[in-house]
Amino acid sequence: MANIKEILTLNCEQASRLLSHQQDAELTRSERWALKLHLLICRACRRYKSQLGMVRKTFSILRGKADTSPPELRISDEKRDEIKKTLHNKEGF
Amino acid sequence: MGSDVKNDARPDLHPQQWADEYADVLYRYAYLRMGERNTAEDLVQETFLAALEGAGQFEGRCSVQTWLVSILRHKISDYLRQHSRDAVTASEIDPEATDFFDGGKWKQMPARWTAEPETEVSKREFWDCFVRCLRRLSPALADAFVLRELELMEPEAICGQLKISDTGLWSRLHRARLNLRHCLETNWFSVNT
Repeated sequence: MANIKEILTLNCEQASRLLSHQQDAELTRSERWALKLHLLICRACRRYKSQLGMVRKTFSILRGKADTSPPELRISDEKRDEIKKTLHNKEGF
Repeated sequence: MGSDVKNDARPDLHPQQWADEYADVLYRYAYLRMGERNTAEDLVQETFLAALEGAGQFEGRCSVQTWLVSILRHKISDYLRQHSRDAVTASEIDPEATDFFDGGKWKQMPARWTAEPETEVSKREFWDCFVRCLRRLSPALADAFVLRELELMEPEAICGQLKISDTGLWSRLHRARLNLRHCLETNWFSVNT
């Protein structure tokens, strides 16, 4: 994205791609400007941005401490013990 | 790997600690991809056994966790290949995500999600919905997306694991996010909040 016209004419599809990209990498200066301007005038993309943040937040809760993450997202104690035993037996041969 | 393979696990791999250190991380990954406890747990166990057998090949170029996750990913792909009821495994990815846009504009305006993740996560149904939505992503999208979001793996490392280019990765992540947010909005946020 090089010129001022491209910065001013960013559409939602392009903005959504930049919003995603922003979660994984640095945007260029002109991409940042284009996105900033677009978000100023576009409620739909502001919502999308906030939703991406909520999805990321959900994942961060997921990998959080054992007492905050839901039980179905933790391995059962029985299986953990079984694995320990199996590894112990295999390792010992 | 021949039958005469001896247990040549390096001492610095500490297999006796794997279950405590890595079982949760691997299980979370497997559960999000498989959506089912028993399958996920069995895949984790298989992963550890395969790792123990292949410990001699661990070169220490990545962390033990990354190494274990890559073994698990292969186990999951094998499983999906063997059990795929349809051909989604090979489904092509549309890099333009045009189905959500029409002439560059949102076809359907994203709704305002009034609930906060902090409150939703305490609901079991929310997790069910979340995992179901993840599972609706094609395996290629889910693989990249879960690696990225679940453990915040660096993009370069994901490209290395999946053997894809960085543009390929951006495209998969973008597409995964559009699909996941659409599914969550349709099945959770516009229904339950």
